[in-house]
Amino acid sequence: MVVIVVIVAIASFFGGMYAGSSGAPQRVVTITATQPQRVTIVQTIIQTVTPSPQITTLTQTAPPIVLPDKIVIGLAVPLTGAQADAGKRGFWGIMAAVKWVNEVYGGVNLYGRKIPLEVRYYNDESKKDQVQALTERLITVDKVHFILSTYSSPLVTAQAPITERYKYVLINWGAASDYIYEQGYKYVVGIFTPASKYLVTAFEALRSIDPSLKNIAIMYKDDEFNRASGIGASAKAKEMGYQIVYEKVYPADIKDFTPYITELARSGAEALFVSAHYADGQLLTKQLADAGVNFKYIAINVAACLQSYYETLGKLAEGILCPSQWEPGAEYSPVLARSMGIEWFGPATEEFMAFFRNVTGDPKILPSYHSGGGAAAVLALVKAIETAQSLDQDTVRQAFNRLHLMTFYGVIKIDPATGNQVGHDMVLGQWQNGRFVIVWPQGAAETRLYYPLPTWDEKRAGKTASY
Amino acid sequence: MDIGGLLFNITSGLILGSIYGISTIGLSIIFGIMRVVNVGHGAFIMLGAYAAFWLFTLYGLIPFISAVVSLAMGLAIGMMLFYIIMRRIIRGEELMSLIAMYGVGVFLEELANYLWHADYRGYSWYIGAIPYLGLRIQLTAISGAILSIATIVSLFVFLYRTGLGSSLRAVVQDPVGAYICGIDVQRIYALGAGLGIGLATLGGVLLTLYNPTGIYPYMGHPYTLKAFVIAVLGGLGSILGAFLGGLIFGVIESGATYIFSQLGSPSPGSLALFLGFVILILILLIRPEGLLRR
Amino acid sequence: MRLSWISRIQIILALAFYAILWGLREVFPQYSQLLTLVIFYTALGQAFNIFLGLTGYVDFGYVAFMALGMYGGALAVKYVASTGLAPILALVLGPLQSVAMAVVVASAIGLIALRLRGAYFAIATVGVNEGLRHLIEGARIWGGAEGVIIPGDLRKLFGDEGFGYIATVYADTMLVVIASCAAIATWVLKNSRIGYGLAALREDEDAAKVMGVNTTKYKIIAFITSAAFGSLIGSAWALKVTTIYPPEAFNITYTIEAIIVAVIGGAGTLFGPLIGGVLYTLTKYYLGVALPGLQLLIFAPILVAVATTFPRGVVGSIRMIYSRRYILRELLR
Repeated sequence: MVVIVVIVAIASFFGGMYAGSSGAPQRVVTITATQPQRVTIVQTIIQTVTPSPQITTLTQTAPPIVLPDKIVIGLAVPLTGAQADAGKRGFWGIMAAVKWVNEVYGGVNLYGRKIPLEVRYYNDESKKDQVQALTERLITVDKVHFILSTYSSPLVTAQAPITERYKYVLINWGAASDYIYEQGYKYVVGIFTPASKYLVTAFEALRSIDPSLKNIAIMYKDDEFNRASGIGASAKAKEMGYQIVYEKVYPADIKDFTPYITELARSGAEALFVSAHYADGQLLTKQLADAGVNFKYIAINVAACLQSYYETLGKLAEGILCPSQWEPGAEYSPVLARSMGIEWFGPATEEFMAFFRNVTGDPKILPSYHSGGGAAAVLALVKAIETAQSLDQDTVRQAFNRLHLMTFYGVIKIDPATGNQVGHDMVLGQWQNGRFVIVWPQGAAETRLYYPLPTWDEKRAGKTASY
Repeated sequence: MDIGGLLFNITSGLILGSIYGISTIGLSIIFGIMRVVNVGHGAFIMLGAYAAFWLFTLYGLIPFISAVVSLAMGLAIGMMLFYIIMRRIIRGEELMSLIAMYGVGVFLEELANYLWHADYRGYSWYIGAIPYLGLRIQLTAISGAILSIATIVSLFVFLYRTGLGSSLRAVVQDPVGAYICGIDVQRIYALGAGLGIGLATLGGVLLTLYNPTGIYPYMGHPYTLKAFVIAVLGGLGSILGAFLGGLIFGVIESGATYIFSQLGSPSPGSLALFLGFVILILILLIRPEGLLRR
Repeated sequence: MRLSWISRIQIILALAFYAILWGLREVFPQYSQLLTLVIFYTALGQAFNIFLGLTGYVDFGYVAFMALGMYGGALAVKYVASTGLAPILALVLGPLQSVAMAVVVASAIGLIALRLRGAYFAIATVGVNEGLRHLIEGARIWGGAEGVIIPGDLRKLFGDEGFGYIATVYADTMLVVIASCAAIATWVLKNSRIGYGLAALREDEDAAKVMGVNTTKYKIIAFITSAAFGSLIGSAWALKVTTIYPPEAFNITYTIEAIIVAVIGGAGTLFGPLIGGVLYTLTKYYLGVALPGLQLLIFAPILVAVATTFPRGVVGSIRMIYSRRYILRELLR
């Protein structure tokens, strides 16, 4: 009896392992990831990017007496726990960028030498107490040169007092909340566009494609980030003259949207804007489809940007829009940078994708905006060090104020007063025929926005949201 | 107040509640039989959900089959857990068993994270819907409710009509007496553990019939909390109580949210949950052993 | 009060332990946050143990007191910052407010829930914890889900340097002091009439009642004391993390960790939480340093193994092994 039990249990375990290694489901999802055939272009990019010797040295930079062999970046990141998905993706993005810097760019230019980067990381289990202890360890025991933030607003806010105390720059790629920059931190610089701006692009796009639509509904999850985003959306909507016929907040661990959907059905709203995280975003979409409540335009932030959204919902995800910090389809390029008069730095998008694939070892895993943000943080740091020609925290922090560059992630420009990110724009993506393509703003768009949304029944019958 | 909307929510609350109930029966059984508080309960629900997901996406097996498979799998895992762990901790402090089961839960979650990553997965299985009060109810959801009822009926048949089931009941009532009657108490404990875990994983599959999205390693936590509340509401150790408690909880969750929302509250869901817990405390004050005593 | 010389040594050792932990911070300032982590978990376990160890009841919703403490501390900071009172008041009002809230809620719970037994009591307290959390979120009390954010206010009151100082040195010191006081409180209660009565209650509540022990009064005293210390810990913790959100503050995992710390060490003993806190924190930490990302995967089976091997906790098992040695047994009580 016991033997049978043990055999079954072991069989389940191996079954689970096999399932895990088979990875993605058989339904093939084609998302833009063009092969890097344009090697020549990659080469020229490198040429133009090699820093010219006109590095503006700031005042009070004493050359470091001893240049280190490596510049060590410290990272406490959630690899398990509630933030594991985002944390891991960001981590991979950071490692990919570091790899690029070391292998293609050659290392950070400091006093004539090219110094490679190294990453020292710990898993903070998505817990605040661990974040504090591990961040301190990175600074005091491992003696890293610079700290990249952890992921998620609550964790980054717990990290900030520690880095401030030790007067270390905290390069924040993990918290999109506005209020971090209102607390007077001197050493925090941000990469993400703040939360309140998340859904703004969705409104702008809708207005431009259907100026007659008036009635909208807004829903957002009851936590700090989504509140900021939802309230920002609400304010923007009022400012643009929309009629908000339904606006509700739902609890964080929600398992059933039925009450909200019953009301949505009767609200008369034609467009729906949602600020959600992963599980609730998927659930809301599914239950809207189940109940047969249709809209002409649906924008869901965060959840709908990930490939797992389409893998889970299939055709039902067609036409859903998602504002994102960054997507692999974003058309930021050295050409665009030149036309805008901004300096370009870093790998081209395809190059980054290649390095990302290399780091994860699994071509089926695609980078998300967390990956883009993490990589951009690394690139911004490298640029800041080079501008400052120093590893001193204060000098580099000053250098961040002078940064104005474009990467594959978009524009990076820091507000000197608060450290907030002011140069970066959200892009709006839409699921069209299984691909998540950028449809707004016009400069970054790959294709036209598909409007209006097909109904749920049409989607079930196979209709896709593409022209 | 839109009565149609309220009715719709009560119905969906009942459907969801029946699934909550089945997931919770396992918790109730394990506590009733062995006085072990399975704090890792949610992790087993997660396993069931993943089982449904993998079997569907890799092999195209419909959730009904996954339900049977996960029940068997849960049974085996539960019995294995008993022999390895629970047997040692039953005699010790109650809290140690709590810690041990917590450890098991964490281990399963971390294993899932390691093997399958933290992506939010799900699957889509559409078998039609029936129009109801202006909206629709999915046949998958209804089948989930039907399966829940079928499970409960089978459970009762097992407990009251089979020898093994009677032995189980005997052990719960009086382990020493049962032993004297010649029942192999350890075997029955193992069976109880297996049944408890198996029902949790089955609950996970049924859950995906209602909500096949958002499957990820740490999805079980909110279900653990709900399960505790429902189990106590219904009376620890009482199977029908757990089911009833689940139904009540489901109706309150959905119905109260709708009512609060109609009354104009901007965050009706949180208020509904608050109400749910207030009702729990009230019920415990009036009937400290839960609705249906063991 | 029975105050044998062994008891006196006990409390001196416990206080010495905290003094050493505190001193280590000075000697190894680079490990200050790690040590604080140890102190935090030890304190949590110590405060939790006051009720658990003495009565045997499990307050599963214990984290609610810590959360209330966090709110109390943070709201005091916000209040002082907005009304322009003397900054030092924020640090004084905080703990007072925290304790006041905890005492009120604990009294309410105590009157209602302490009539329940065993698992029903535990789950009722969970109900209170979750209910409070959802009430705060649903009714938007104290900022609701947006939480209370105080770095800016702390900076305004104490300046940049002061803010850093408070979030680290001051808060850490506060934790050590609270932990020591919790240890003293445990010791005092254990050796008093109340402890004696509670010991009887632990063995057999009905018999104790029959024998004239005022079980309700003693339970409530232990409960409120435990709650008060929990809230004080929260008050200090608020100064460290500087942002308080309901789902994190009321997170049940803290209760489970408190249980682990107290029980693995040895519930009901004075040194139990100390040992439990050290073991739990350091094991998880160094596993995390050695195998980042895999620490929980390895830690969980270890936890299970420890739980199954030491059914009475580490201290408890040592007591059992050396049950013939009176002095050792009493010392570890």
